[in-house]
Amino acid sequence: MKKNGDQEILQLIQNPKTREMGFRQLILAYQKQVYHVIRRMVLIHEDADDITQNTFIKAHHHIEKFQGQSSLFTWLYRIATNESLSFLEKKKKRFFFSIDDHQEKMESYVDQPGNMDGDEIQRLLQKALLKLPDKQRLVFHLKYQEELTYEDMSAITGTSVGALKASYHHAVKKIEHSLSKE
Amino acid sequence: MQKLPKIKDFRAPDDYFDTFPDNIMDKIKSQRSINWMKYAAAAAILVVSLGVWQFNVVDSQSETLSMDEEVNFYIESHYWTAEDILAMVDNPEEILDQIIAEEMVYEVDMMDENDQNWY
Repeated sequence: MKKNGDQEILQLIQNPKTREMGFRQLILAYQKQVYHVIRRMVLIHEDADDITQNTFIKAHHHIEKFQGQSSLFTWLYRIATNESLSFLEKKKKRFFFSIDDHQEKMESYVDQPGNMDGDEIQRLLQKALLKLPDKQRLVFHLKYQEELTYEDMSAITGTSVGALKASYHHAVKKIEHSLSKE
Repeated sequence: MQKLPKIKDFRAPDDYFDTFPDNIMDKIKSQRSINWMKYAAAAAILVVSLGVWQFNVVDSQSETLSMDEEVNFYIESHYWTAEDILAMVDNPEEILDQIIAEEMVYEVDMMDENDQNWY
């Protein structure tokens, strides 16, 4: 998946005189997509904000090493999804030592009025998704929500196409089962 | 899954995306100036350390004497504990055996004295 403006952005970034302008254009082009892929994973805005900022700061730090073998989109998504999964891993470890259950906290966030738009089906779907392991939940979002190709997903997650297909298929079954119980 | 709608994304706060690029560029600039300060501080420490080392070069004999004085200072001021000292030597067991032997003699002597006075 490649945006038309990628070449222009990269040319601006490669020139030291226009690097700042080029990176600003990169942020403008991808900030919403990056934010939403992160927010779907971590749910809470403040957490999503931190991770989105870290994603772009890391991207800035490594942009000179970007060789264009993948698209900017894939490259940014890879950073964003890795940051999100690391964040969730650390958060769960912190919850391990507390009485509160991490999943319960996330589910109650979905239930709080004003936190999400949509009807009951949306709420149930979100809660069903929270029951999936984080990586499988990510695969589901990338396939079902963003309709990425398995090839793009493989480039983002570093997982084989076959494994992704199996993971997505299994995620769908689990969610259908979860919703049918409600 | 085709029967279900797409998941409605959570809403970002108003104006979030309007200010986001400026926030990131500001953070990148401030990180750059922090990095420069770190390099400058590291260079300053290196220069000072080299200067101190040059200033304090002494010949080997007087260095040995001052080392003994330094060791005594650390022991007498209790800066080094017994465990620290034992950890630094090559043969800690031998030294412990020696200490125990010296203390046992003293205890034995004390016991004899007590025996003499006991009746």
